[in-house]
Amino acid sequence: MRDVLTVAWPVMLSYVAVGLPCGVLAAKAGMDPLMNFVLSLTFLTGGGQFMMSNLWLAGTPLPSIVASVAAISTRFALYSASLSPYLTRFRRRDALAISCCYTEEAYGITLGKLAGGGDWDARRALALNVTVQLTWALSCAAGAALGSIVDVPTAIAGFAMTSLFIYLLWSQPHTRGNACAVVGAVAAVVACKWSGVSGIAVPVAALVGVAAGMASQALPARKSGRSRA
Amino acid sequence: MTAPMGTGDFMILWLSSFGFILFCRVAPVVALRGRPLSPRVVDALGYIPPAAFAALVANDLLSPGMFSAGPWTGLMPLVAGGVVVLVAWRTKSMLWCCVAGVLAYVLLSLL
Repeated sequence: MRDVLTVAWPVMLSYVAVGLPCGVLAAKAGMDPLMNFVLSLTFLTGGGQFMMSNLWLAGTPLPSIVASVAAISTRFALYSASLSPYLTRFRRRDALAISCCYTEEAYGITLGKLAGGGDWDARRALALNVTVQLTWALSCAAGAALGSIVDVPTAIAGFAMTSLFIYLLWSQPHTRGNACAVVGAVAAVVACKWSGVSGIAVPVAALVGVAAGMASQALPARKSGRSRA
Repeated sequence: MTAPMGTGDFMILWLSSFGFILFCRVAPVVALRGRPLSPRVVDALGYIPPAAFAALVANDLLSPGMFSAGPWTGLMPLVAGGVVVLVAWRTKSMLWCCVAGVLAYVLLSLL
């Protein structure tokens, strides 16, 4: 458990920092602490929960909120697809349990550990998931309970999460293909947000990034083909 | 003023979101388990983490209205993000990246 906590506690701290304002915002939308706890424990996407509350407070119709949240949740299919080759080393029920309850940060850590060939087993991966998941759920519920008593600046707390994502991005192998994937993804986010479809920016950008990475592999082959011809 | 979310609305929102995200999480693991993947598919799967994390970072840092309150307001999160990259490069520590990111964000927002 010690090695799990060693990697989990920075994530747990950032979840407390972001979960509190997420709960405060959800309370403003009308969700009580129990609703927050249940939602956070089972839905597991901070961005989705912030979006739910913001859209509700903006008076968006319920079907539109459901559709918007579903659109940004599709990225988890990509995460699970990239995890699946590494999960084959575990029993089927362990693989399913891990895929059911990872957060984005736990996904990044577990993927890095499994791809790195370390001794990260199913028990550790699950313990990491459950630890950070409970931290997130309790933080959101606490935020909803504290409500208007505390005023946690959302922007500052949110930057803890952004810093985590920057770290996870930096920890990826520094290859030309990955650089192309990053450039493609950033360009797609800009294109989506500037054309007014922010709700689908992340999953679309992830797909564009993958396509850019694949295209970067194909480019030298075409060049050499031309030179031979 | 929007009416507070009732239990019925919450149940619809929660159950639909939970069902959809559960499907997104589990379906690829079930569908791809035990199947030999072609090298192209393996390559594509390998590009998902950098593409997804880059998308999440860009989604947090970039928005159409980022410069509406002045150039520094828009640039400041990018500079703070640059500080996090420097810390990631020098320390390779997730914790120090979070600490440095939040500190840089707070200090730069005071300028």
